[in-house]
Amino acid sequence: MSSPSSVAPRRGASDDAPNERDDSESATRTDGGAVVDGTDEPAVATGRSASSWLTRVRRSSLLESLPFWGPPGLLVVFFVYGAIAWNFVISLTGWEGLGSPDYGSLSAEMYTRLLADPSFHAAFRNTLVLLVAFTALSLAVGLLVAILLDQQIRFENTVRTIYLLPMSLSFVVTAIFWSWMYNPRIGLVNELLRSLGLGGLTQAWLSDPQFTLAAIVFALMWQFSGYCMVVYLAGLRAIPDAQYEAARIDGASTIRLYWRVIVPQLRASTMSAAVVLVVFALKAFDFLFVLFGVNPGASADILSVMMYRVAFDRIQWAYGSAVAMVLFAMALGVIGPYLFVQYRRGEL
Amino acid sequence: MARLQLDSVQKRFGEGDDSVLAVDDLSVDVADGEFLVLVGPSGCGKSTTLRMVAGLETITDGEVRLDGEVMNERGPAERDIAMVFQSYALYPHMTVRNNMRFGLEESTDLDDETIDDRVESTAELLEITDLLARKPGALSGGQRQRVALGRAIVREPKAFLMDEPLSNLDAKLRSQMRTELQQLQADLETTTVYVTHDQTEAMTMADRVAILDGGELQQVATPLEAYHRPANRFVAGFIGEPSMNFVDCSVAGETLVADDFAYPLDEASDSVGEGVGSLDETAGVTLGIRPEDVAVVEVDGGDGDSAAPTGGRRAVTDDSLPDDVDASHAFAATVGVVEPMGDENVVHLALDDGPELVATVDGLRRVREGRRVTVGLPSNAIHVFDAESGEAVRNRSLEAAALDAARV
Amino acid sequence: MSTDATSRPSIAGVDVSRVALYAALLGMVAFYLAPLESGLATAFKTPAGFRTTTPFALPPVGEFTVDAWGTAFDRLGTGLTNSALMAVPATVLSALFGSLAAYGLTNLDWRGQVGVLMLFVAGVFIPYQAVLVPLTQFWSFVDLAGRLPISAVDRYEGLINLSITHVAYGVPICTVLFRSYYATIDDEMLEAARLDGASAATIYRRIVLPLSVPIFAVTLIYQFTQIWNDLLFAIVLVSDPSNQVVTVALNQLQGSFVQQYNLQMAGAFVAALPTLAVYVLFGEQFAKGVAGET
Repeated sequence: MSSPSSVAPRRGASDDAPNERDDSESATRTDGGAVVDGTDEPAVATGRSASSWLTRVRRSSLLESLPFWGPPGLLVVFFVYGAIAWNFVISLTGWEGLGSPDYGSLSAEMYTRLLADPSFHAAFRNTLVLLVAFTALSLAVGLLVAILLDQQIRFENTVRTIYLLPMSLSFVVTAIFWSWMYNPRIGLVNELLRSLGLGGLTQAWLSDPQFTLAAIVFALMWQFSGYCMVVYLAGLRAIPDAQYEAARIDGASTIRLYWRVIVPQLRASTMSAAVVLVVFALKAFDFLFVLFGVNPGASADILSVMMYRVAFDRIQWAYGSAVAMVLFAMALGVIGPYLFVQYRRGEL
Repeated sequence: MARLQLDSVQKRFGEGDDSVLAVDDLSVDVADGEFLVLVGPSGCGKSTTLRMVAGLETITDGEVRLDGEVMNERGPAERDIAMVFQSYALYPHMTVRNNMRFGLEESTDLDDETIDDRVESTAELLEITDLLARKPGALSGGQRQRVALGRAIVREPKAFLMDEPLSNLDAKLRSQMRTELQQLQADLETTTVYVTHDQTEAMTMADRVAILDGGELQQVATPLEAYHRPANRFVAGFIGEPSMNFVDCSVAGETLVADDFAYPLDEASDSVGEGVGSLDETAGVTLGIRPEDVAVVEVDGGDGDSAAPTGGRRAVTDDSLPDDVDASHAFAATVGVVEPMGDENVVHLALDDGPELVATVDGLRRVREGRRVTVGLPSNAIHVFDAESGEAVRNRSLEAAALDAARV
Repeated sequence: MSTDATSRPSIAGVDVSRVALYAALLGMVAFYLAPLESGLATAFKTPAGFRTTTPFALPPVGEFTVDAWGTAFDRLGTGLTNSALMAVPATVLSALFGSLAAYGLTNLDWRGQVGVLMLFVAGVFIPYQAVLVPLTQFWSFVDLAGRLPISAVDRYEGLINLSITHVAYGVPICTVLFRSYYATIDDEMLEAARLDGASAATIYRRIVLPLSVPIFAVTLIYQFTQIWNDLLFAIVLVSDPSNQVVTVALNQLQGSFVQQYNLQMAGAFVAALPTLAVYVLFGEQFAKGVAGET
């Protein structure tokens, strides 16, 4: 590299002095090696406005990604959002029986009918009870089992696999099991009670309106507590051991340790599991349908079964759509805040 | 011919009040075949600059030109540039061979045979031929680094970009790779822009260094030029280990004063410090002197081990101060901590009427903690910086020959 | 997970607590397995054996038979085939779509990504009742058999409709599963691929897809279970008895063999066989898929 600027020590002023900042302009500043060769370009700052390039790049990134999420996105938009919107519109018609819905005259008649319908009130109430009881019970059992599993037992994986087994079964299958289990005469539940000498506690679990809902909650908990267990186990594993030790040094008893130190930290796990459970409870149809058909009776009728009965059994399409919209609104009430919180936390 | 030009390049993240100006009006010209090192502390914008050259970040303002062609609108795939990442970024499911083939398969029309030939010759160059059939997971850190290099080299691009490629290696391997990289680049003669936060790497490998701080270019120069003629206080403090001593002073006539410390600047006598600027105009200045220029002389030892009373790195023949230090530039001091490095000793000094300074003396010399010494600050080694702007007002003088020998 | 057991709280003394722990765990095992064990035992009992023994007792000698299974297979055979025909393509397609969508929303950088992603995520939670009525309208309008005069379409119209429906409603959860996995892919590696000259499509095909094998396993297993086990869509969308899937067939079987629990149990197990097999073989991955939403 030849250098037009001499490297001999200089006196006095020189525009190659290292004293000044080397920002814009000539690249011959402050360096022992020059850069300018044959093709002499005055390195003038052209400083072109880059905003149009920016938009172009950004847009092209979007365009580039479109073929990937576009088709699935289209499916989701149509089958999920479009369908729900359509459902809402149908609920505003009076459509029932054969023939097509009349989109011309829309009113909230179906909703006023709902509000006056005692079977809707019963179904709504039962849905809420199911929701709360099922969620709470499944979380509690799941947590308990997770705590047990977290104690470094042998065969942990095998045991965990067994606990999760019910989740792999169809609700049709489990409904058949439980309808047999709850059979008053020969079912496992009552047989067990009798063999333990608790014959007096036997009930007609499914046919007695007092116990139907409870029996359903219990059976569903059987199927789902394994899921809660998996979630909680992951949550427990994320808590550093040091906390257990610190709490014990502080003199906490086991119960207090768990109640005051561990459980509060499982809040995230609880929330995510709860959302899944609640939404499932809202949808739970298969299980009850197999057990009771379209008519579980006033004590166990829930909104999802009612919707099916109204729409497909009684062929009151619009009315059924209205029930479905209520279900959707309830689901929205749960997932809306949940998604918002997740988004805020950046966990999306 | 692959000349790389950065022309008033600017990068702004975000918009409006919350925006961050990561790179501010940066202009650097990299000659064909030159090894330019972008160096600076974390967050100075060097990686952002590199990524703009690569096309991985958009350029807010200014131009990047490669071989005269404007690159701003081109995607990374179209720039004919290869990059080596700090994390190596190898494809874990592919063998080393396929990792190296990938770029050629995707960006050229070469047939398989040619590609294989190139891969093999590059593997030979980097001595990784027996690793070709392995996957990255089965390689050590150093081996992965070579594969990352190989992946870039095999493409024969117009320019190499390297983002701290050695920082994940252990110290021994790092210095070994430094030399190898330098040799490689010299052999391949490809224009290279190399980013690091390690000033040692910058000093040893670069044809020129570009020092950045807070998104602004501080100086572009050869390593030695940056070392001996820093453009401002930041560069002076950044380059060199241990770092330059700084003393904040005010100007009183021809003397720099800080509390009880007085350093007369005498331009008329001996070798005059280089540089311009009238000192009278500046109110506050910073005096700078490098540790190796600080002369340390034992005061009447009496314990006989001042056998080699070398001051600083200049051998002297007797107990007195070195020739280039006159009495007005000598100060009494006490030795504080001494750090023996083997090849040198880093001596911390507390001047009686002055600041604390760090000096480096020859490693074979024993300087005892707590000893009384005389400290000499030769006027030809003094740097003076404007206290407010940081700009160098005056730099040390050097023998002319020294600067030309910067790069072998 | 600590390796030092003493850092965990002990319930009472040391040995007693371990015994109690294992007892509790065993109790839970019994709790979860009892219905299944009883069901299995019952499926092998003759009607006489069934009447005379307690549910969880094994079939007594002489009352062991596989008759119930034979009947069950007879009744459910078509259902099994139909379910397979419907579930396998739906599983594969929904997983594929999920992978593509997740890639476009995660590994490629553009504005508004998060918003679109939220739309997908929200789709995971909707109750199917909210779309049933429009769906029936939609499919009768589409009338595949009428518009595509191919005999296969005509014969399997119900299954095709059901399969497509499952693909559409499977996309959100598959996208979510792939998304959390793709978010862990090293960005720098993808940038390196860009510099190597690869387009977005090439990056997907040559880098992301090969790296997706584990998450594909999880998603396929999870989706297969969900789709196979579904009843609601099947009952609503498939009216042709020849297109009946196994869940619907099982429901009918239950209705026609009231009180004959040995037959019902056999039927239940036959219907559950594929998902049980998948679960036993791939339990680990299944568990990951189940917990994958968290």
